[in-house]
Amino acid sequence: MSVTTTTSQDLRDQKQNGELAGKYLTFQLGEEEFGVEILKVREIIGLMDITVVPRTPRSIRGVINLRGKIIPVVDLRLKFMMPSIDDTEQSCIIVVDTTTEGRSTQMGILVDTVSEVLDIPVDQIEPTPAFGNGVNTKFIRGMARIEENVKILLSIEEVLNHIDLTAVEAEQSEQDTNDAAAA
Amino acid sequence: MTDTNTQRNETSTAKTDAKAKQQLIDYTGQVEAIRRSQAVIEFELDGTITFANENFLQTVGYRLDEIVGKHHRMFADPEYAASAEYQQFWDRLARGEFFSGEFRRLGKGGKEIWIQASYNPILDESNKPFKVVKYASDITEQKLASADSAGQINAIGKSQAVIEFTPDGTILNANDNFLGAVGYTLAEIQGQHHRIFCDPAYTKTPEYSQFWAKLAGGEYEAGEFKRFGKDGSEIWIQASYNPIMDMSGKVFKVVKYASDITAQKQAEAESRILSDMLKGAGAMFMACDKDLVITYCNPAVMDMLRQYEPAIKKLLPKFDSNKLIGTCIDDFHKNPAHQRKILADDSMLPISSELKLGPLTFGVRAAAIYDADGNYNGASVEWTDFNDREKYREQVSKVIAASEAGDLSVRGDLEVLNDVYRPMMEGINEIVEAVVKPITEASDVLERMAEADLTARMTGEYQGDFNNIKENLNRAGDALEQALLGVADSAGQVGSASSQISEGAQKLAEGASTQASSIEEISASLQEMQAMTGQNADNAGQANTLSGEALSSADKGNSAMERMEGAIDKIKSSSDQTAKIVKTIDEIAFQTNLLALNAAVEAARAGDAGKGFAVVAEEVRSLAKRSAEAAKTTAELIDDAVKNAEGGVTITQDVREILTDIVDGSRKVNDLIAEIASASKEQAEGIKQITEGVTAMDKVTQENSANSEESAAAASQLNEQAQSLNQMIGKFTLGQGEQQAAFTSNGTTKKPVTTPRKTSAKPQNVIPLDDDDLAQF
Repeated sequence: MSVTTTTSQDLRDQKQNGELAGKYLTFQLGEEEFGVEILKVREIIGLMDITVVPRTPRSIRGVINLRGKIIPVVDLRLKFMMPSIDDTEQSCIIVVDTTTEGRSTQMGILVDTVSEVLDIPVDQIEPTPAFGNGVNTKFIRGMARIEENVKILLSIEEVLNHIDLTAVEAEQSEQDTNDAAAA
Repeated sequence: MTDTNTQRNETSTAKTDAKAKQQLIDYTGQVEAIRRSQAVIEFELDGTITFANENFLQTVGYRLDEIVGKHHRMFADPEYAASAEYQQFWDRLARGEFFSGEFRRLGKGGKEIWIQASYNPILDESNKPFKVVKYASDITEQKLASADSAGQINAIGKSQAVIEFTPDGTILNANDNFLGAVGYTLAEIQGQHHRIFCDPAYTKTPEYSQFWAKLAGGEYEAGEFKRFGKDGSEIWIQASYNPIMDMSGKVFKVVKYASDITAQKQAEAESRILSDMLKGAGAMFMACDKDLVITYCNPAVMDMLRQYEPAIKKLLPKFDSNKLIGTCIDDFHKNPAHQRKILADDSMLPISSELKLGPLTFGVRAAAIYDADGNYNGASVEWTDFNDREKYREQVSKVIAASEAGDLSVRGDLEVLNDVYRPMMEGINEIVEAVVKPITEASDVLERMAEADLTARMTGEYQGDFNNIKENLNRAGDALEQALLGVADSAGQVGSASSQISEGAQKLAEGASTQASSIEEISASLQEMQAMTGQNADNAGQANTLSGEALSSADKGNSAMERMEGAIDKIKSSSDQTAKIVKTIDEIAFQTNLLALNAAVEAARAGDAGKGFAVVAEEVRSLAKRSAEAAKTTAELIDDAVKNAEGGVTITQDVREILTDIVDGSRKVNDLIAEIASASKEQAEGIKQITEGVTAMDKVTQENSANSEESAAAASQLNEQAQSLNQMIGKFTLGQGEQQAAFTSNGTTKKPVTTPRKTSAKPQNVIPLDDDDLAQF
């Protein structure tokens, strides 16, 4: 970080980028590589039975029972409005920690395949470019240049909240209530 | 009559005037006077007698009481009294009609009485008759007198044909004689006109009209008339037409008395015919009476005697042809007594003899002539002039004698003959001429034929046998000419035919030569064919071996393929197992990777403490990744191997099919080769036979050559003979001369015959064919 002339913007960016550097779990959707902060990841599991929940958005695949804990699973392809594909042997569910309205919760995201854990230095990270007015890029943390490719670093809370997360939370909450009542 | 009229007038007027009683008395007196002078009888209207005066009673010889109350019919002929006519008579009287006339009545005892009487119906006041008064006078004596003259007339009528006419010619009556002569019945001619008996042409003449006019005028006509009977036959009558006049001198009828003279007329006609015949006849007749004085000479005998008069006068100086009639025929005879004796007796007649007067000869034929009573009344003499006949005989004899001697040039002299014999002599001359002409012509024709001119023919027009001679001779000439023409034609044909044969022989010889060379070529070809057949057999053998090898190789290939298939199947099953293992490894690698990642996540969470662990986790993940890649590569390799194995199976199957085809093909090739071998054998056999055939052909060709040579020689000889025959025929003159010219051109077409080539298909060129050569097949 040897900088001779730095502006306040640069500084802010460096600071921001510094925040962005770290370990990411990378996965694929189609040809594209995405990254999610490793600290947000709770667990990686192979595909297992998913129970479909009625009256939920199409991107909500259903819920899984992970060692006694009910976790909703989001089909990230559908969330990202990408074409749906059949599940493969490579298909995996990444269980992540997220916060909604101050409440900490766990959710599964269904991806084509998980790749690796990457430690991305700051100089390989770029901030999210502007795509023009009206284009929400809040759910993207930044872009990582790895060799010739670009990996999109996701803000998983934004991803999950931005899209119908309330409903999930409501379900979750209901679930919790029910659990409490049951308890 | 006048009296009765008067009386009727009186009767009709009697009661018209009551005052005329005086007049009635006068009438009564008159009636009484009539009664005294006349015979009076009165009847009722039906004829019943009521009164008769003395005069009447005297007339009829009855007393009054004998007749009163009786009927009038007692006086009538019973036949008449029964007739309708009589009844009518009384009916008419009853109606008031008046009658008068002469009546024949019968008196007592049937005595015939003729009365002149009037029957007068008397009328009453209403003009109706109430009685009949008859006044009569006896006219019996008068009647008998007239009957006498009538009897005389009847006598004429019995002997003569009588016909009565009105003055204009209408027929009133005719008697049986007349009717018999003309053949009509009375009914047929009554009321007809006289012209029905006449020639219609004559009746139209004024002469005929005049004839009747004269008669009507009272002129009498008599003569012989020609009339015609009913059947149209001609009738001659000797007749008188007598006009009969009444008291006033007026002709009221014409009576004709006639006798039939037809037979007489016919005899007259016949005698006229005979007379004219004698006058016109060419035959010479004279007649003499019993004293032999000539009474008749016909013109022909006169002419004849006049012709010889000078000659006759030399012998009989008294002869004068103009004074023959009245001359005794003794004057013609030297010995008149002989003639007299013959002619005196008609039983000797008729008789013919010849009369010689010096050089003259006559034929004389005498026949008897009889008078009407059949008495011998003279003789007729028919003369014949024999003098011309003698001349004719001489001429005929002359011609016959010459003909018999073979001289047909002599003819009868016509100048010396008269008109009778000249045509006969002419006929004989013509006969001789007719005989001479065809014989002469026939002789000429035969002479020409003898000089070889066969065109000579008889051309004259002949009849009958001469025509037969002509036709037969001409036919003989035709036949001879046709025969020689036929020979000439045949000679020509033989000549041309021999030329053709000669040409044919030459062509045959050329043909034989060509054939020989052809046979040579055939021999050479056969040899080549033989060699080719051998080559064929060799090739077929090699092909057979090769196909056998191919067959066994294919079999081996087949079994190898089967083994290969088994191996491939094994590879496939091994690959499947391997694939399962690889998949398991892959799954393990995946799980390992997940574990490594989770380890990495946990390490990260652990912060610095987890750094070492993170490295290990990374190593594990990397191994898992390599393991997965290796498994993936292995799986790919195995997939490839399986695919290759499957491809191998497909290829194997294809190869097997191909091999099966090869095997089948090889078998077929084998069969075909066997057939080729057998065919080659047969071919060789065939070639052998052909060779034999060719040898035989060659022999025949040789014979052909020899034959054509002989044939040519014979044709040449034939041609020469035909030529000499033609020369012989050429000596004859024939109708169709072109025959010879045609032959002459043919005769020169003789050509030298080319000797056929003396070659033959050499026997050593013939390929010997043995079965040995085919053994390899």
